[in-house]
Amino acid sequence: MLTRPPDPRADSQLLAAIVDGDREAFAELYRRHLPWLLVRLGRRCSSPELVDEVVQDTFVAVWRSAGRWDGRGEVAAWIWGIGIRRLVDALRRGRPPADELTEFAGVETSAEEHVLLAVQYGDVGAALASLSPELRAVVQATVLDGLTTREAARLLGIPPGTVKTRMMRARALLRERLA
Amino acid sequence: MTVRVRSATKSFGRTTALDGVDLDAGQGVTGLLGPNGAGKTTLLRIIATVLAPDRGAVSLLGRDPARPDDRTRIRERLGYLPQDAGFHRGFTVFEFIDYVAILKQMTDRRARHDEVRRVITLTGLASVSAKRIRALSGGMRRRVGLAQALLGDPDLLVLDEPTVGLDPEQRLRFREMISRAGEGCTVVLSSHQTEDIAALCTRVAVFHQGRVRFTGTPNELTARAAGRVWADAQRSAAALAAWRTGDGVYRNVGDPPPGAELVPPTLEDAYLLLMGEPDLEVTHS
Amino acid sequence: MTVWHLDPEAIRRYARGAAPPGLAASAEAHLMRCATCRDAIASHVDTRRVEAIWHEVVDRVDAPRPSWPERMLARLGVGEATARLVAATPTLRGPWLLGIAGVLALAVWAAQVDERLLRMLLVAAPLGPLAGVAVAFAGGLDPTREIGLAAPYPGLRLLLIRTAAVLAVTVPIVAAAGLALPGSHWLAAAWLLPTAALTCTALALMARMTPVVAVAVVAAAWVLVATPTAMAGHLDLAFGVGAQIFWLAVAVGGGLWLAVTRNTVTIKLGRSA
Repeated sequence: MLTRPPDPRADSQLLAAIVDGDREAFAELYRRHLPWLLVRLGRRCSSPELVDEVVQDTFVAVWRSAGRWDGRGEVAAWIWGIGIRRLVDALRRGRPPADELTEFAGVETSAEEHVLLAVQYGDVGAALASLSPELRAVVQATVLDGLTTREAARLLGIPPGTVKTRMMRARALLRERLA
Repeated sequence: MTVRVRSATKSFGRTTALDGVDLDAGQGVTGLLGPNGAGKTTLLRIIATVLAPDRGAVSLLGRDPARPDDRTRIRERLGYLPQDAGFHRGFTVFEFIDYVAILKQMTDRRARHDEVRRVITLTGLASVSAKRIRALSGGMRRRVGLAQALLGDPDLLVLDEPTVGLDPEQRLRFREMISRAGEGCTVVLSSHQTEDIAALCTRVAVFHQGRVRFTGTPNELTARAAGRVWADAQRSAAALAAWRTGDGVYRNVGDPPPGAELVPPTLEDAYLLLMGEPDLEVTHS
Repeated sequence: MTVWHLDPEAIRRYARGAAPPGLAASAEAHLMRCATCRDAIASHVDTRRVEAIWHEVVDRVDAPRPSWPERMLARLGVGEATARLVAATPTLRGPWLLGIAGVLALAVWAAQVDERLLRMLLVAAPLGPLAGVAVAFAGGLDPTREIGLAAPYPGLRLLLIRTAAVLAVTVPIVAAAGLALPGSHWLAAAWLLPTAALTCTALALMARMTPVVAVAVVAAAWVLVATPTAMAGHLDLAFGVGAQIFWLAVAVGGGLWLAVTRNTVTIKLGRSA
């Protein structure tokens, strides 16, 4: 499955072909997007089996609803939207929310990364890194992952009210640091 | 010998479709060549265990299809593509081949689906496996027919006019697939096109009006026309058949007049000669 | 302007889960837009995992979605493979069934009007299911018939599955029509055993003749015998208690005969062009 000649079609063209039932296009889309999806979802859930399941569900959903992509933005973003919502649903269905916060703890920011962050995002990256893990998680869920307050609450296993207050605190802190 | 037929006779009402036909087929591709109505389809149906002859002995894969238990064993190792293979409305390629797989007794869903995918890949249908068959072109549909025949990796593959109606490029690809399938199993196919036979078959049997007129290799058949094909500026009166070739010269088949410019024969020439001489004795080699 | 990409070390750390939050956030935002870096991540993911997930996805995507008759049968404990065969039976198609229902509705309405038509309806009732059986095996309507004949699937089993499928659908339709008839409800049931007997006989005859001919012979015999008796008012002869016992015997006898000859059951092919 991995040994195939490169497919020159753009993601949007692959999706259009999938609507037509083109399995080769589907295989190509899978090849392009599974790796990053696995890693990104894997950083929000510590159970690899659950991640595998969610990723499966996501691609089956991509096959079945390829026609529902609105044509705007990146296909990757659309796939991510499906994937993260499936993860939220799966976590809501009784699995204990994985404690992904522990992944951030114990990781040291090396000097190179400081430079990298400063180059890419300037002060924003550094300011983000200076937030506490709980605040960072909320910022990641709502801003980076694009979840609603309720979805973020489900993902993190905290009440929606707490999500809102933490967001407010994070915003205030970031404004302060970047002022 | 995978297939042995001896003195097979079959009539439908007053029509005699097969009249004392003998045939042997082993590893490789055996072709039945002849015009429509010559009895090829009837014989293929007998080999596919779909019909029983009125008289004669048939042995397939070492078993006797007249006995019910043997017949089931034969069918487990058999793949068949009939002449007018049809498909259920609304089936996708995968669904149809899966349906045939069920008929072939593959009850385990996972293993069955793996096998369906295998034949789909073999016949180059992977990109359309989720499409409805009725939305496919004739060439692709024929491939679906071939794919279902390849389910279960049969030891005996029976194909009735597999390339009819295909355009030259599709025909070429189909021949490739059949050739590959023929490695390691016995293929018996029919055609009324000599190019298919010449390109594919290791043995050929020529049919005419329910009888076999010739069995042997394609080269042996071609050799029978040696010295009986000549070129001329016009149709020769002595020719059995003549036609204008691309460069304006006439190709004549028959008994050449003295001094005629002989040309190397093709399988088609030999076939025409054979068809044109109905009293010829049956030749076996 | 040079295009910015994640450097290989950053990708490696991110893929391993060893990237600090800022780097991770940066990487993730970038991956949303950059196919090159997405490809770069692929080498850090276990190939076996990728293949295993693909295998699952493909199986779910390829697997034909069961139609509602298949789902119903599955709930009744019928195997998935058998359910697919049943659902693929020709005849179980909306338009054809609606046709039968329509004809029957008309006949019932007519029977309300004239008592003789009522008796004719009793004679005609078994013909509906019989026609369904013929159609289910008629060559023209089952495109995969020849392929099926060359398959090792037990002939009798296929015959019975299809016949059962046809009867399960057509009998209730005719029964519903019967219940709408005036007069005692006994009439609505009186044609059931004759139908069973006629169907068994037709199946038994299929060993000797093509399915359509077998059904035609049985249907013709029935009509020839039952019509005069019905028209003359002697409904008892064909539908009375004695007759019902006779039909039961024929049905059972036919069933036993089929069981005994099960290995030799095969559908006869007519001569086609």
